[in-house]
Amino acid sequence: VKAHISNNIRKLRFENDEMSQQALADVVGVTRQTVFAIEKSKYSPSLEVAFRIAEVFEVPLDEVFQYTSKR
Amino acid sequence: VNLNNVTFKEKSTWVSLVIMLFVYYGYFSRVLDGFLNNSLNKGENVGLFIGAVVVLVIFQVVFQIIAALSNVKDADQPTDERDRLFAVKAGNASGWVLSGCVLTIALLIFVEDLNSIWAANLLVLALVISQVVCYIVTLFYYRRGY
Repeated sequence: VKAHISNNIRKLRFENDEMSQQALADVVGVTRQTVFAIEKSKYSPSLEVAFRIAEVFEVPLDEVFQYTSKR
Repeated sequence: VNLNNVTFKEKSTWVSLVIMLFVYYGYFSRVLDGFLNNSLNKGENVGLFIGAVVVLVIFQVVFQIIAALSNVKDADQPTDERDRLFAVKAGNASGWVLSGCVLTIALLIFVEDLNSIWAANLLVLALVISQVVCYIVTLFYYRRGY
């Protein structure tokens, strides 16, 4: 089963006063490059980081990340 | 590739890979020359080996400092979960390669009755190969994503 995890982080940053990748990275506790990789779907973060991102934007997890399985 | 989106850890891995290949290409080409000319003795080989290690350490220190100075802010960031995950995956692959190489060398020593210079150089080669695999797997994950 191949899975794909997409996300709305770019949109959520825009809606939160154009929050920078660095600002989000600092709050979440990862590097700016990791936020960039997550946004581009080149890295699937741990559950903990995923929940922290959702917490920053004050939205449920599934508003940040969407899971699609490709069978 | 936008270098702003490349972590210091990835840049540092590229630097380490290039230095490793450069230094040990020099080392093994000299050792091979010595073998082919029948002019390499234990003392000379030990000298070459220590020289290679010293050059490797000096190059690593100098070029890692240059890489860090090129973007102090990035270099100052602690490693995060992505860096640690890739390091674990690369270390795992590298461990398998090292085990395979060491077992092969052990078999060669038993079967071919290799002398100590051959055995030592094959073990050094095994270490170099496993470390190069470690760097390449790390870079593969940074480039391709995970």
